[in-house]
Amino acid sequence: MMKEWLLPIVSAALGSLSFAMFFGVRSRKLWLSLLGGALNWGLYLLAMKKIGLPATMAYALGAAAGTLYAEILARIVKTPVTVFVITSVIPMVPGGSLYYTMLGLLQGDKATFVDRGLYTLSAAGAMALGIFAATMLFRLLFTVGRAVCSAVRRAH
Amino acid sequence: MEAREAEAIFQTILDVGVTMLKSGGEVYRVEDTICRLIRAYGGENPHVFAIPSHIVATAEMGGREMTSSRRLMAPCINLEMLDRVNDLARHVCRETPDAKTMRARLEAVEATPTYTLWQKMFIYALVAFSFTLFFGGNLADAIASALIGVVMLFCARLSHTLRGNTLFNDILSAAVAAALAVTSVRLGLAADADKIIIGNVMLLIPGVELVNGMRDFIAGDIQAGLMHVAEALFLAIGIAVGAAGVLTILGGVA
Repeated sequence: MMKEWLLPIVSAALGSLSFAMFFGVRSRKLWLSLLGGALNWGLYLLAMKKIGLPATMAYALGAAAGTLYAEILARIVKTPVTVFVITSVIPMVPGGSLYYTMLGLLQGDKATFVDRGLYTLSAAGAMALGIFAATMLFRLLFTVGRAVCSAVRRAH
Repeated sequence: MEAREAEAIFQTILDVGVTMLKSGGEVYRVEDTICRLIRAYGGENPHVFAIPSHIVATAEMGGREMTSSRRLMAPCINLEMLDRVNDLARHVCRETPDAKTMRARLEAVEATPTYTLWQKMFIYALVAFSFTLFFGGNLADAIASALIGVVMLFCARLSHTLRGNTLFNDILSAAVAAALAVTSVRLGLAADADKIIIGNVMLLIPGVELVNGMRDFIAGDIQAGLMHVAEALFLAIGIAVGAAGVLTILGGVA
């Protein structure tokens, strides 16, 4: 329990918080970044371990959740979306496997290079897909919501 | 609006765009903001084009057509400054102050406080610490990683003093991180050098470039997206060269 859920989520949240600080973010936005990191890694773990989705699908889902969170939050606290997207999606960046890929390449270990390289590519692709889908979905909802709001106002 | 005032306002608007772009704003946001600001001051037919290293804008303001451009060198990501300059643009759009006031406000944004050296040491240590834990290192690894993280800050300062670019900094820092990680494992202070290196490499990973590049593609700015993603790939190779070079010389991780 502790090793499987608590440790990854807490360290992902800490990672998001520290990355936000790394890029100069201050004040309450820091705590919102922390929450974003915990949310998207928590959802990734949930999708993979409880629902049993393959890792890439879980990656896309996690990144989509982080992006949706960022888009909504950006409207509420009036901050550019980038601030929250970057900080909450950072645990998803396949830094570890990218490192093993490059190491495999430079040390002539072809098996590691191909295996980790394919994993890195699919993880990065899934992340991009998740961000893309969430942005599109949010834009759709936002536009529809605004149209409904103005229609209601006109009806009054 | 008199011609000189219009000129000053136009130039200041471009500088707002520069601050936004260099602090980590996406290209579409910068183009959109400059257009909005120009229209807020009664300018007509604004045409703005931006890529991560350049902005050019043309508009009719104060009765004549004006064009100006800005060249951006290395970005200096500061998301707090991005937030503040975004706020500034929103206020200016609503209140349209004169050029002098807008310039003063922009200078206030440029002076956004950064963290002090001690705070930065703590931040670097925290990033390395959390990501070493995150990628599966144990507590001893994470603590060693945090200490090496502090060294990373001084590597960044050193390469800045030597006028090295980001690639130089990434190769140097990755090499130092790998050397210190292997040393700490050989001294028996930590268990897994790979986890320590990965934790520290996260300090160098061009996360903003990568994510902004994807967002550029989504917004349809293919050139900007390609520039960002190519830069991210280039830096990733630099990191790998630094780390793997040292590991090969030292004879592997064990």
